[in-house]
Amino acid sequence: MQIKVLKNVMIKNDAIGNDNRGRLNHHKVYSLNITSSPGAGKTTLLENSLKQISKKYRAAIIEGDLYTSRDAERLTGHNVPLIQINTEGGCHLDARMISGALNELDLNNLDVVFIENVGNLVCPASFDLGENIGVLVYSVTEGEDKPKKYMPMFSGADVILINKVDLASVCKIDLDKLEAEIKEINPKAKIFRISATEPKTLTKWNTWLDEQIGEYKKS
Amino acid sequence: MHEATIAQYAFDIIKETQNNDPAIKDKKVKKITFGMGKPYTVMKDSFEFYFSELIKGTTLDGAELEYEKSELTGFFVSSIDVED
Repeated sequence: MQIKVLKNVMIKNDAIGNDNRGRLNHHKVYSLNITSSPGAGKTTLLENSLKQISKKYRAAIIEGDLYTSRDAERLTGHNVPLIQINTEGGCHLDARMISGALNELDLNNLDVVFIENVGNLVCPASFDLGENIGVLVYSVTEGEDKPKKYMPMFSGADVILINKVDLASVCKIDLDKLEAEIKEINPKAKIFRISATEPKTLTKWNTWLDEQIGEYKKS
Repeated sequence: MHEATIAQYAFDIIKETQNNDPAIKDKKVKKITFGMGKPYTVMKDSFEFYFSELIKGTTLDGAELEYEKSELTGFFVSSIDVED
């Protein structure tokens, strides 16, 4: 006897992602899913953005890492709640992992959750976590040619931070050309040029994020 | 290695399908057909490695796995054949 099922495997993830979104919305907690290749600068960005954002908002971090707690250790000095998820080789965070992490956070006393995904420029694109915005950090050291090669990560992001722009000339990267290719793939994405190690280059991004959280809290 | 997650989701979908229908709940599954529409982002060998671990000792253990190309999007559980 044959039984038709016709269910996409991702409906399991999407259902939990929607549940996460509902929980976060219920508590008015804004959430960001920060993705990138390994070494593109997610943790450095977090270190410096947290300094600004946590002055005004109650923040928490969900930190994804394959095996170690190295990134989490870098972020503990900010005195915000931090949940470490070790995927034990898994190449992405999925909605179920985030659901478990949200159980550990006091959502009544939070305004924003930063989710730092596992460094990977392919797989995280497939997994909705329930976030408000997807933030892709792309480093100029990765080259001009990657946006079209890794299109789903670029097309699915709400914000793209072009990082390490201070190294652009050394890496022989034409930033305008890179940005034009990104816009071709994703015309709606908000793009900022930053050097995450230089806090002053994060001002526009931090101000924009501050406004987004503020508007969300008022809505 | 997201195939581990995909395998778990596929397993959950099939078990739910069985558990929701008393007529097939405890029946042995003889064949599982997966649909592959673009983009399916699944490597079959890797998927089967994880899936074969999950189904050990369950009603799915020993089921033949089939794959068919599809006009639908992504990777999905198309149908299951259970014993009469």
